[in-house]
Amino acid sequence: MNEPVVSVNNISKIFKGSKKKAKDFVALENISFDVFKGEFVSLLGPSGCGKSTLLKIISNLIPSTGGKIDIYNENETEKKIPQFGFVFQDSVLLPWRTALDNALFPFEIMSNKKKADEKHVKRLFELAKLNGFEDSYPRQLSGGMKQRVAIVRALSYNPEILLMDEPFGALDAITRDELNNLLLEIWHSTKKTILFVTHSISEAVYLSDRIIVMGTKPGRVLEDMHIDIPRPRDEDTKLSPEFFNYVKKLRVMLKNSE
Amino acid sequence: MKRKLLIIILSILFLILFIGFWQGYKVLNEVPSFILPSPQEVGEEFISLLLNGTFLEEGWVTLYTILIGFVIGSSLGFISGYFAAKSKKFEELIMPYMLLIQATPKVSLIPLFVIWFGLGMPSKLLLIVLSAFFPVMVNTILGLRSVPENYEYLLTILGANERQRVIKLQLPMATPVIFAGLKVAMVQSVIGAIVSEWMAGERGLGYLLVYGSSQYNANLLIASIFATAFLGLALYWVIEFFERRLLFWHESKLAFKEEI
Ligand SMILES: Nc1ncnc2c1ncn2[C@@H]1O[C@H](COP(=O)(O)OP(=O)(O)OP(=O)(O)O)[C@@H](O)[C@H]1O
Ligand SMILES: [Mg+2]
Repeated sequence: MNEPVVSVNNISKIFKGSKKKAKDFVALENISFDVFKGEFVSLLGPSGCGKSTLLKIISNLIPSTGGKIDIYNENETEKKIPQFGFVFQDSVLLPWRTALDNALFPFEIMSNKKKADEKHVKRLFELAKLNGFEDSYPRQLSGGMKQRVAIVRALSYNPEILLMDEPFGALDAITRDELNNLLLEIWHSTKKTILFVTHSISEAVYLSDRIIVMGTKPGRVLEDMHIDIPRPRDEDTKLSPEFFNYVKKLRVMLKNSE
Repeated sequence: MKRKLLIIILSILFLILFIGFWQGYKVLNEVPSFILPSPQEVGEEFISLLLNGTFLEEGWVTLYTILIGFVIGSSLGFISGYFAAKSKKFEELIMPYMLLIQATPKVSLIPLFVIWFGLGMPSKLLLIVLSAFFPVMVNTILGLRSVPENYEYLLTILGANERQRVIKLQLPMATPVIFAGLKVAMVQSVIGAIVSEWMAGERGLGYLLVYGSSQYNANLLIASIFATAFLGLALYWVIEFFERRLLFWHESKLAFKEEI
């Protein structure tokens, strides 16, 4: 647990204002934290505090304007395959492909670097309780099922780190709880490092080992909070006094930062 | 299934109503046949023109002109749409000219084409190519550009190269919009063909129309209008057929899939 997998050092991001009209916008200012191997870390903060921007910088989708991201991967042979699995708020499934073909899509893109591990993908399908839906098209799946396919796809090529940007934000409360539990199961059996973005306080407390609390204007880290609630956690956890205390503490913190 | 039957019944009913109205109008107002023949007269004329081969011969001339022009025009439209979508510079370079061509009523070019290329095939083809080009180009640009950002991000994470991006993401995503463009292009091509046959042709269904008109032969004229309409409809259906096969996954094709 003591080796960082992702190290975020003094990251800042300034969006240049468009032409003369708008001023430059500081989306992130001096963000620093480490994520350790096998950890479940959540980024929690109000809308617009730069959570998505930060995830994109970490996964090298967009450049930062300052600071440095270090990714540590001891597995040299796997260097060539993507280090990240990314799950977006919308499932981003290809509508002309079946669920299984969507999950195998990454291998098609990196065919010369990694052979399709169908056994692994089949096992993920079972873990995600998707067996029987391999041949369904995205339009035939519910929102929750689509997100599960997206998670399977992100894990199919066995990346070290799973980045999730409000993956359950568009789902109803019941499905969301269901998928939270499923995600914990998947995390437990795949032992991935997860960086999870949400603006639901209870979701963050329920899932995480640690919560990076972010404030807005400019986007910055308010607090790095350990959640010492024993695992495995289940629905009863949400009724416990310690759970409630964390939720309360975070609520006050976010309120004061406004 | 039930809905489909209802639609068929309704459209037959509509046809009967239309013919009834036509016949009624003619009889009640005592319109002479050289201005408005009866449905029966037109029907007989249509069948006789079909049987003596006029429609097949002239229709074939129009059909292959349309097909050649459409294929050339939409291919060029697709290719330039692709490059315009990929390169802002290229787009800015060609767009003003494209808009200028598009804003010019293409019919006005036919007399010029006739001077340059004479009566016949080349003039007709050129007009059809110009008609089909623009809708396909614009929709190709639109389709290729409108891939949601997260899909592009996904491919970046997976380390896709430009070729994979185009083949595995952008083209399939753009297909519905490109097909919408192809349909417009087909309709425009048919119009282009007929209009150019009025002016430049000595053959084809468009020529039959002007011929019928010049001879005050309303029978021939109306029967030819129907022949033109059927040709246009058939060509439209051909595109729809390919669209349904390719876009089985798209929302707009769901109703169709689930009914059968
Ligand atoms: N490409 C861009 N150009 C200019 N400003 C941007 C751009 N992308 C994001 N921003 C701004 O940066 C800020 C952070 O955006 P971001 O999407 O990271 O927020 P977020 O924390 O993910 O919010 P949410 O919870 O609503 O998803 C916002 O104020 C947004 O307007
Ligand atoms: Mg966001």
